Amino acid sequence: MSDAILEPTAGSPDMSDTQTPAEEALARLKELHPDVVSDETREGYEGLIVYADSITEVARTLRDEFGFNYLSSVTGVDNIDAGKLEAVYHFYSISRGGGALILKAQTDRENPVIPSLVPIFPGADFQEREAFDMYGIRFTGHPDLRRILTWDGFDGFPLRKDWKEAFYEEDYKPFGSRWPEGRVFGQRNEIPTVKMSATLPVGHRPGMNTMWRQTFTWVFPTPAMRHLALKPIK
Amino acid sequence: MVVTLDGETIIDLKPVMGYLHRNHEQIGERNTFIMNMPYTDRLDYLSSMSNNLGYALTIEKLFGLAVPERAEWLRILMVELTRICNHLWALGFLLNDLGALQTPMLYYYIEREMILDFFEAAAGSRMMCNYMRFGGVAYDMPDEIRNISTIKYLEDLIFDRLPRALDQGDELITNNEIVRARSIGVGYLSPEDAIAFSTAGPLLRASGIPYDIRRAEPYSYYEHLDFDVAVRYNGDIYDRYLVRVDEMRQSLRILEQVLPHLKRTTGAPIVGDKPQYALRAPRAGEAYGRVENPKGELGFYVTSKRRGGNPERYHVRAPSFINLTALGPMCRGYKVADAVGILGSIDIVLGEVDR
Repeated sequence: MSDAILEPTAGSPDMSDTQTPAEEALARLKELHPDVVSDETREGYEGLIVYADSITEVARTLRDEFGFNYLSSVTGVDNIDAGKLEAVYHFYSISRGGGALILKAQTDRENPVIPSLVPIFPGADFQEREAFDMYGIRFTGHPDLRRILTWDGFDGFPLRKDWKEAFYEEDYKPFGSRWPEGRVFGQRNEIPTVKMSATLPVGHRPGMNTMWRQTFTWVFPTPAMRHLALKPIK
Repeated sequence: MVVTLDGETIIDLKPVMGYLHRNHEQIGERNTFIMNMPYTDRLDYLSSMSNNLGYALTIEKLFGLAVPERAEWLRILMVELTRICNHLWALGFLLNDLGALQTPMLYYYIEREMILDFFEAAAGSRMMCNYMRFGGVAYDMPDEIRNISTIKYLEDLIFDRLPRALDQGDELITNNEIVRARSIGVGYLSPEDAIAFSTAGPLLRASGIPYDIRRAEPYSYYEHLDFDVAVRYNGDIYDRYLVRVDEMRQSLRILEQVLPHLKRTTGAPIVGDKPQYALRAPRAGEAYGRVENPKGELGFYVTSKRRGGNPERYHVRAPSFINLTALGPMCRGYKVADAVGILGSIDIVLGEVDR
């Protein structure tokens, strides 16, 4: 090893004249799908912005024709200034190595829908579920789109920029609850439930009234657990 | 895990997670850049040094910071020791799951403790190291550990103790009849599936895909170091075991090359002169940095506003989490008892799965 290579390395690698596999694929992608992809215009951002409905088509081209067969990362980003939710995809090529090919699909915040990549890249399964869990992006065509890190019955999408932690960050009282309607278990229609209703005594502090007066419903997930509700435990 | 069974045969398996969820990413967006560094230790708490490196590389990419030479060698030293440390732990637990209770695990732990002692002397903590900084590392090597000079301690470890421990493990385990019966041909993952399920690390390489980020997209000084990418071709539990053993041997090879450089650069600066604490992003933008963690590809996706003091978006691409995607397909068709071994062979850490 010569001493010449031991210069301090800069954090961002210097791009040489030759095109990396990712740059080459990006250029060809623009030729192949001129209608649905557009350049990333924000300063400091890389990759291409893809029209959300065409993301599966573009991803299939990437995998089958350009050899970018490894979907490393799928994640959501809340771009609240532009009123958009974004899904960011990082693709790599196993055989050719090199840097990432970045695609972004944008959708509006009110009704965020993006087609799922699971049929093409099964590895997107948990990551799309996570993006759904945290941002509420609905990935159509996902075989099993449920919450993954928070629990079933969680209310809200915690990584959105306008989300407020129930109880601690609320603007006003009474506080909201992360257990809407007091459900401890995720309530599903097909499960027979036993309801135990009790209205707790109303306090005299005006701010607290609404919080305590709500009806608590305990839901037992299986009929076999009914006796727990009906009989007092000795 | 929710397992659907036919007798003892697994028809379907779905991992259920989230019990250790701490909303790492949102806390990361609230923190300043440097405040996340100790927090990355808590992702994969068995290999905190590698997590630190991944995060430091990402922020250096975002800020365009340079790293002095000695810091790079120190980083590689720490990261490769972490890899050995992590694999010793992983193999100990894999063998535990396969029924070789306690003995091999404790044999491996003796060596792991030696490495952790070094981490404690160098970083102040055995596991939550918080060692890397943007543009360098936090501390230089200590002068001595347990009244032995540090270089002597490392030489003992790298040239003598660790190779001996690996040979001993080989002798004890690799040809053991029960281990082979429990692991050969179990938990098969085809190379096509390994890529499709985005698996990374030893899981990918045991399926015959020689993909290692240290070679595919080299960072730090890895392109100047001489080592092979450990790869095996059968894609079962046994091969994942062997890949990890091979990788530890390759890590030792790297460490042998790093030591002379550490001796040569003694006294050189270990961190750039930029202040670490009130760091603000010089430009708006995004960066995705990834490193070859012991468990696979660890990626950080960080975006920031111009002059922003904290990340706008801080995402962790956790290898354990994504490797779990392949657990269901790998277990299908095998017996319930095999599922434990297959899970052990993925080598997950829940701090990283749930974040």
